[in-house]
Parts: sequence; C-alpha cells; structure tokens
Amino acid sequence: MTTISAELRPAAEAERIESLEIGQWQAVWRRLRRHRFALLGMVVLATLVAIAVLAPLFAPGGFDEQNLFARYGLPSAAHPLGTDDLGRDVLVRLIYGARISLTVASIATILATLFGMLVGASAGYLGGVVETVNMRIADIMLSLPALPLLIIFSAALGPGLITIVFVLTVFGWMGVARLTHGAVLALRHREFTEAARALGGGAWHNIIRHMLPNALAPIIVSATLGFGNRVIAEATLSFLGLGINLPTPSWGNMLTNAQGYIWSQPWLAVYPGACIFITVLAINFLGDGLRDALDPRLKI
Amino acid sequence: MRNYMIRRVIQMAFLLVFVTALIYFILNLFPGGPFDSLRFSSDPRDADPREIARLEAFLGLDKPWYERYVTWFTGMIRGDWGSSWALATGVPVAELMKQRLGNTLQLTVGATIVSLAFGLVIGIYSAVRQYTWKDNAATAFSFAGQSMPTFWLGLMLIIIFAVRLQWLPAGDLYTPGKSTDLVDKLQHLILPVVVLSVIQIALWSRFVRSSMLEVLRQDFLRTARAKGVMERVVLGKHALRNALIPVITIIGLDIPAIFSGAIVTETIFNWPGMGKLYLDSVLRHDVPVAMGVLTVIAFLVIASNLLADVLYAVADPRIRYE
Repeated sequence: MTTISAELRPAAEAERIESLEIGQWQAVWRRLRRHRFALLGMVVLATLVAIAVLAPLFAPGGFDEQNLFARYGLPSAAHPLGTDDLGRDVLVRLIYGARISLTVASIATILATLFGMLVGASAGYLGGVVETVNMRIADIMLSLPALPLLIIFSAALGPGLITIVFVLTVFGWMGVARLTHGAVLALRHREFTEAARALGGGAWHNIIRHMLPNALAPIIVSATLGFGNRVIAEATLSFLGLGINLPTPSWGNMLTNAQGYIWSQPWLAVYPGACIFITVLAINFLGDGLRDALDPRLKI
Repeated sequence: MRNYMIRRVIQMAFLLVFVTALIYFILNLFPGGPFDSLRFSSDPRDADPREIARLEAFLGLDKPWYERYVTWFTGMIRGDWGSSWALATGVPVAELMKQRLGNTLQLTVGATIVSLAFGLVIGIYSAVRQYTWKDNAATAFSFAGQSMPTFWLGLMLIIIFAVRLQWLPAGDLYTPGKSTDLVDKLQHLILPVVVLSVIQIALWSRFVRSSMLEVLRQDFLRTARAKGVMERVVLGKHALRNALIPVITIIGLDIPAIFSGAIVTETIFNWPGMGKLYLDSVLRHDVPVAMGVLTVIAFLVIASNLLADVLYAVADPRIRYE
C-alpha cells in the first residue's frame, strides 16, 4: 500500500525493498488470489465471456437453425444437449443466450453504477437541497418493490434489449448512490480534500480526483453483486415475456418455452436455469472475494 | 413517538399519491389501447369503430391521463376502484381483488413464517458453531439460494416432485372438487411456499448469523456466563434478544421482495393471487385492475416499513423517535 522511499535506505538494502514495493491494486490482487472460490468464480466468468464472444465460431449456423425432423432430440454427438421443440440445438441457443445475459447485465451495471456515483457524490459534496432531493428519491425507490415496476415499465416501453437495459438502470442505481453518498460525506472534511479545495480544485475535480478513488472499494463490491442480480432480473423479465423476445434466445425466454413441455420433455427446463445459476454463483463468489480483498474491514 | 407516527402516516399518504400518479402516467404510455384487439382484428365482422369510440368515451379514455387519474383517485378513496376492462370485463376491481388477496396472503404469510423460522434457526446455529462443517454447509446453502432464479427453482421442484415422483401437485389452489379439503390445500401450498422462502432463508440466515456473531463478542455475555447463567439462557435470552433488533428492520424492508417473488411464484404454480392478477392485467392493458393491485401492494409495503420502524423502537429502548 505505502511505498517506502528507497533513497533513505542503505544501498544494499534498497534493491530488496524495491521488490517489496507494490501498488494498491497489486495488493488487492494478491489477496484475491488467495480466495479460492473467488478465483474459481473468475475462471468460470472468463470462460463464459469467451464463449459468448466467440459464439459464431461454435455455431456458424446461428441460433435459429431449425430442423423439424429432429424435434425434442435427446443428447447426441451432433447435439450435445439435445434439441428443442423446433429442432434447434439447445447448446447453441444457450451459448447465444449467454451473449444476451452478459451484455444486458454488464451494460446496465455500468450505467447504473455511474449514475449512482453521480447522484451520491453530488448529494454528499454539495449538500443542501441537492442532497435532500437525491437521497430522498433513492430512499423512496429502494422501499418500492422492484419487480412490479420493472414489469410495468417494460410493458409500457415495449419489451426489447434497449428497454430492459433502461429499466434495469433506472431501478438499479440507488444502492451505489447511498454508498457513494456515505463515503463522500466521510471524506469531505478530511485534510486531503480540504487541501485540494484550498488549492483551488473545483467541486467535480475534487469529487472525481480525490473522493471517488477513495470510495471505490464498496462500490466495486456492490456493482459486482448487482451484476449477478441483473442477470437474474433479465432472466425473470424474459421468462415473464417482458424482456428479450423470441426468436432471440435468452436463458429466461428459453425457460418460458421449456415450461410448456415440462411434462413431456422436462430436461429442456434444466439447462437454461443451470446456466443462470452457475453464472450468478460465480459472480457472487467473486463479489465475496473482492469484498475481502479490497478492504478486510468492509461490511456490506 | 406519537408525533413521529403522525408524521410518518402523513408521509405515507403523500408517498401513496405520488406512486399511484407515477404509475398511472406510465400505464398511459402503453402502446395502443385495451381495445386494439377489437379494432384491428382480422375477423371480417370487425367491431364498429363508432361503437369502440363510444366505449372509450364511456371509460374516459378520450380525456388526458391526469384528468383520468384524478377521477380514479377520488373514486378509490371513496371505495370505488372501478371495473376491469379486459380480464373480466365489467367486474368491479375490488371484487376481483377480494378473491385474490386471501390467496396471496396465504402464500406470503406462509413464506414469511417459514423463512423466519428457518432463517433464525440456521442463523443462530451457524453463529454459535462458527466455522464448523455445519456452518460451512449453511454458507453454501446461502450462496446457492441467493444465486438461484426463483422461477427456475419452481420449475425444478415441479419436475422433481410433481412430474417424476408425483408426490405433490404441480399447481393450482386445490384439486377440482376438493376445495374444502385441508390436507389437499396444504399439499398445494408446499411447493410455492418453499420456492418463495428459499431466497429469504438464504438472506436472513446470513443476516441473523452476523448479527448474532456481533453480540456474542460483547462483554455482557461474558458477565452473564461468569455469573453462572446456563449457556442455553445466555444464548436464547441475552444474546438472541439483542441480535434480533437489527433483524426486524431487514425483515420489514424485505416484505416488498416477498411480494415481488409472489408474482413469479404465482405465475409458475398457476396460483390465482394478486401477483398473477397483476401480471395478467399489465399484459392485457387492464389499467383499473393493474392500478388496484399496485395500490394495495404499495400500501402493504409502506405499512410494513412503518411497522418495522415501530417494532424497532419497541424492541430497543435506546431508540427514540421524535
């Protein structure tokens, strides 16, 4: 964390000390590496991302290649996980579903986190009316049940990729706003911010340069865990018919489809949910590891 | 305390107006109207456009949304919640909801009780036996429960217990013709209540555990043990009572989540409750029904938050509201 200036030491010792000098992020990485489950989560996530990015390589025919002569196929060499009601390869659709899930969740997480940081930081730094309005809105929105509102917004705006990213952003920034608000309030009167202000730093300069970097640890943890929740939220909305619509495969709408064949072809319902489960579990492991690695005292 | 309560109730009323107005506005943004299926049907015997216009004028659909909102709100206060447009055309919303609210409460209250019981037991046990294999198993369960999408868990349970083992029904309120059979009723309740409870147990047990661990480190417990108080009493009385105080708030804040879960659970298990009614009304553009359900849910949620605050003060004498 702290760098020890080498000049003050005898020359012989200097080299050894230099090798001990590590930056903050390196220290975080070292702690994270010791967390076995976090590491596992990271490997699983990296694999999923790679599979999603390289989807066309695995399935050059695309996700909608049908074969009505091979409906409800059992697992075979050509179709490792079998085929669905229209003879489409289940594995291929799962791979393309990963694309949708990860894209929606990551874009919504980035937007919601940035927006939450903006709302919370301005509330904490500026105080007064801005603080009251910002944080009161956050409190009200946190107290409302999210799913009924996600449903009604998605239906009103017309289900689709952009709608779902939008609603997950609009209803996903409050936690980060609260964390940022609290952190900025705590940092506001510390000497180094006073110094930055005294040197003539403007409000936004001070917030971005001096406060947010110090408030980042809980925000990163919250964003990671929020990512997992958004994967579930996207799947839930798609399952209810208000997210990603067919024929584009999403793990959620594959389950809607599978629900119709639950008595005759129950295995179709197993895979998409297992994908969601594994993805979210991996993210939660990573989030847990990050919480310990970023700040052992952190409690959220 | 009394002043605080009065202020909170006034806040509650304002919040309710604000939320219902916002939702009314959003419903107004819906593409098309509730009678598009009449207007654009491929049936050659199309509905007469003049008749549709007359119907829309009767329902006030020709007026701007804020005028309709004022009409709806003043009616709602007087107990007139309007009538369904599409789901059960003409049936008063209040009547539709009266049948459903009881069904939903069976699920949500049942799930809350089950979650509380298991959440407390697992949480306390893993705090007292921290880092044993049983505590680790509870941690694993908690991770799994939080990472599991509710609807998939529901589908898996249906596949295992209804399709394969055929022990439990796959859905509905009761077996046709057995509407008064209590055993049959309970059998139908088991799976949906389990589905609704798992995530709450996963969350609450973690919370009880960390709250309990915090209390277990306190000096007054050492004092109690030094005085020779039995371990059972130390844990059950001294520790638990103090550990439960923060738990009350979390549970109050999680009531909305249980209602959210009810939407999905009722849809999977074909359970005729408020959640399914809500989803159906949104999908069918049935504005009066959607408004009615949301208002009831908003009211229950706001009221449970208030109740949690009050209970918090009752449980902890150090907390005083002004």
